[in-house]
Amino acid sequence: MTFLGLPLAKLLPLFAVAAGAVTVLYILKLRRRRVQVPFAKLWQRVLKEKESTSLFRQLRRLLSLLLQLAFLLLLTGALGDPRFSAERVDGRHIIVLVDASASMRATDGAPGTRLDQARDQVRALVRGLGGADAMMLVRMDTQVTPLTPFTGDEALLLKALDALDPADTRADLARGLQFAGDALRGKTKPLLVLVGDGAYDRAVLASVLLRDKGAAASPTPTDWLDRIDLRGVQVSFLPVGASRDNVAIVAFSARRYATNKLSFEVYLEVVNYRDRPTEADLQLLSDGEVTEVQRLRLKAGERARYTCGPEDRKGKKRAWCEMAASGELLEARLLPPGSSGRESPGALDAFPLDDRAYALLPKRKKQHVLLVSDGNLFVEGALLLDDNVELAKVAPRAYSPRALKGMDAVVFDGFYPPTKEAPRLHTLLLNPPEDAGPFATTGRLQAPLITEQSAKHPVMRWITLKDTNISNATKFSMAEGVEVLAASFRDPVMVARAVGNLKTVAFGFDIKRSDLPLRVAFPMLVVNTFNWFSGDTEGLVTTYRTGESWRVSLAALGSAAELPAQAQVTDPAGETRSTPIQQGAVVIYGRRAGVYTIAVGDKTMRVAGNLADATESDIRPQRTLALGGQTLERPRGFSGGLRREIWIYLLLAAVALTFLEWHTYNRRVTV
Amino acid sequence: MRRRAKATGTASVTRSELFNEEFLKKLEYLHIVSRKLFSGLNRAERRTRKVGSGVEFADYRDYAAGDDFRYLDWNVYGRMDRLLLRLFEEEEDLHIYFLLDTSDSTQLGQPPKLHYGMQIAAALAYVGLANLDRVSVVTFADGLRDRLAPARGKGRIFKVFEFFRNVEPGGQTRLAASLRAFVHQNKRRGLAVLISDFYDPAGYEEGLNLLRHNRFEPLVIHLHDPREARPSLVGDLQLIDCETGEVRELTVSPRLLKAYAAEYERYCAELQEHCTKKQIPFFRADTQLPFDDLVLRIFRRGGFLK
Repeated sequence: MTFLGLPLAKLLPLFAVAAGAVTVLYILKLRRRRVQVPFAKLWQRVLKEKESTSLFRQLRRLLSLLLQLAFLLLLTGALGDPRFSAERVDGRHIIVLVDASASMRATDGAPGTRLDQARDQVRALVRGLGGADAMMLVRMDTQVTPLTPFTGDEALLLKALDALDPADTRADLARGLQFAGDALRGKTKPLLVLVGDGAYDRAVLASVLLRDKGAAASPTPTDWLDRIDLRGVQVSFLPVGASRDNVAIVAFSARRYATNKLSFEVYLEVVNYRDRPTEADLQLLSDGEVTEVQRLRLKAGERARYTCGPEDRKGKKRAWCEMAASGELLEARLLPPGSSGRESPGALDAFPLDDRAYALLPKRKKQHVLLVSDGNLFVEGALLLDDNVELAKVAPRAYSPRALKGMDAVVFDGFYPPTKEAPRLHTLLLNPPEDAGPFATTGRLQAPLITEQSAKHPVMRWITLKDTNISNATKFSMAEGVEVLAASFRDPVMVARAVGNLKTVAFGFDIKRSDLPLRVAFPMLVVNTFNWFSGDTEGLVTTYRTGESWRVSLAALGSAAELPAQAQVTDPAGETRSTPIQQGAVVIYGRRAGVYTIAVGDKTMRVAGNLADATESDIRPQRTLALGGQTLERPRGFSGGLRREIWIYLLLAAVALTFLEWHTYNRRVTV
Repeated sequence: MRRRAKATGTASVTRSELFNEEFLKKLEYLHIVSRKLFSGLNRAERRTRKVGSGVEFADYRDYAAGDDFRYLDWNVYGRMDRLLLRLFEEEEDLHIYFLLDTSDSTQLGQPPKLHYGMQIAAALAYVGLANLDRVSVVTFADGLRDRLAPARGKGRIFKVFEFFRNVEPGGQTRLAASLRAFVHQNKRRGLAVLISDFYDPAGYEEGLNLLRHNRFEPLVIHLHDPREARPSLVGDLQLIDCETGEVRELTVSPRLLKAYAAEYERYCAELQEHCTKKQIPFFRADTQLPFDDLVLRIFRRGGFLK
């Protein structure tokens, strides 16, 4: 028997003092109620023995005193937290690293989710803590969050455990192990208990350094840069989960066709983690309305990609190509076969989180463009090719500012109106006059060669102007805000500028006196220019992965200068929080999968976050885990759910003894 | 220093209200009943000490052990083979002494035993006065206290009432000392009605013997409150004797209460047995019963009425 609470050397004097005090109290004369009787002699005759004041007589209620002393003994013993020597566990420092990643939402825990099962396991550990043990509860998803300090307070640990909820992200085991290693360094009897389903990156598991391989093989510090140092820490693993039943959407994105914004195509990747062939209904919804349903037939362990590439077309895989939908929010759902028409189709597998994925399409908008030209078939053709452009034409001599009414952009071909009539619209200038236009010029170049072109500017995406023949071109001078799109030996011949929400592009040469219209680049150049004008520079709206910090540009809601300091971000769970806007963008940590709404004033935009993690979707539970080449054991030194703290039973016995003493006193057994 | 006990509780009626119109009606009723009983009494059963002192033959009665056998009628014995005692009319009028215990212990109870004793004494005194006996009332505790001079006639009953109203109770019960003083002060023998709870630590035997040995005819009325036999006490107590102030510490348990009740009953039984042995008429006066019931019982039993 050992004492983990107060040591025996303290308990004995404590008991002696308390027992002495109780005995003194028993020796004290009892204060009695005074009652008058008519004839005390009768009472004397009743009482056989004479009352005495001797110490022995004072202790006549010896049984009651003994009960009280036994009560004291039990209480004092409880203070000592006695344990059987076989169970003795000296003050350990324990970190319980609870996997709270998305895979812990799997519903194969019995009952409830894997996280519920993990909670039960950890509860048993908490209740089996020794008197000198200190435990820290840490949650692990892509972030590592300590929920408690090192403490032996069972109530605090259980409260933190009850508040633990899973995130829709992967588990960053490396970060969790590093945190645990740092927190346990220098602590006595360090113990790390990993509670999870084993859905971890194999590379991380292999990179852990659990023990020295011998002094001779001591590695240099540079060899350790990518290792997780857990030397000296006893690591245990508590597995949860029982099923591998999952079919997952691991990638989902959609984009509109550059030349026809009404149509879009979808990229989808589905993995069958089951060990049997599976059928599932794949449903596509646009703004909540079912657009398409396909029956998928997947082999065991098959990873199927659905794209609009030529390979897929050859393989006759049914992909969603050249689809048209009015909505912007696309949702892909995996459903049990034949259940797509039902109101509550139910879950396809044990892990419903990755049976849904979201993607956003760019806003569809037709631009009204006014072409001011004496006639330029090349430009007209390029503009007419673009389904997103509604074209109107006017000759320069007939031009007046009234013609700009209802227009989004204007193209001036070899013409620019007087300054007072300068349009407050997006403007494309083709071969502007030297003495007019918004850009200052420094003369003309004869037969320029395009030697430099911008790689970053949206107008120049997918464009190459190498070997373009140009008769002559205006040299633009560099000024503030002017970006060079193309230059001939550092002389800008194509420039762009954005002032507030007003964008201007200028080509310094007459396209009819160049071979540019004969090149593939020309229509793309026109499409890119008008996409840039409309703010739709991306044919693809990024679909983010949960568990990362997303930097979301708010350009669609206004220029950086116009945006306020804060945006309101509402996550898929409906929680809204203020997020600072910095350099025209907000940074959001994607903890939940689904659609996030970003509101700035009365304007809103949406972004989508998906789990999109094949490792996390692979919910095959690991009964054993090898860390640094060493198979981890189950944690020992815990009582596994049965309270073995003797002090609890001592207290219960003390309470029972109190009842007994009270009963015997009232029954006059001990008086 | 001896503790003086207070009377516990408040009497349902004050002492001045004890002898009201209602009480007088009851007395008159008792008097009428006593006369009926008198006419119906078997005179042979009436014992009197006055045999031989008178000249007019009155009656016979059965011989009892202790009687003076000089008064045996040997002729009747010869004829009927039965021992009969000749009785003669008393020449003197009968003296009736009421000895009322006014010690502290008689003030306890609800109603107080003292009040009950006063009512009994008043009722019997009324009947005695009405029968033209000489009635005297004496109170005692640790000695003789107050005294009402002997009187005759119904009209004197109000003096009796007044006397009782002005009684100052208190003191310990000392029967022997009180009755010794009584027999020394009263040479005229007669009926001595002793009304007490007999809570005398020294015992009652000596006192009763004094009366008997000095040729008084004692009649004992034991004031008894049944609630004293079964007090509602429990726990650790300090019992204080209301007369002696003696303190006794004890823990009262249900078992002890049971033993006390048995002891109390034994004490009462011993008193009754002693009186029976000494041929002293004995009556237990239960304070929870109407006093007139007891008075009627005394009449029926005989020994008080001529």
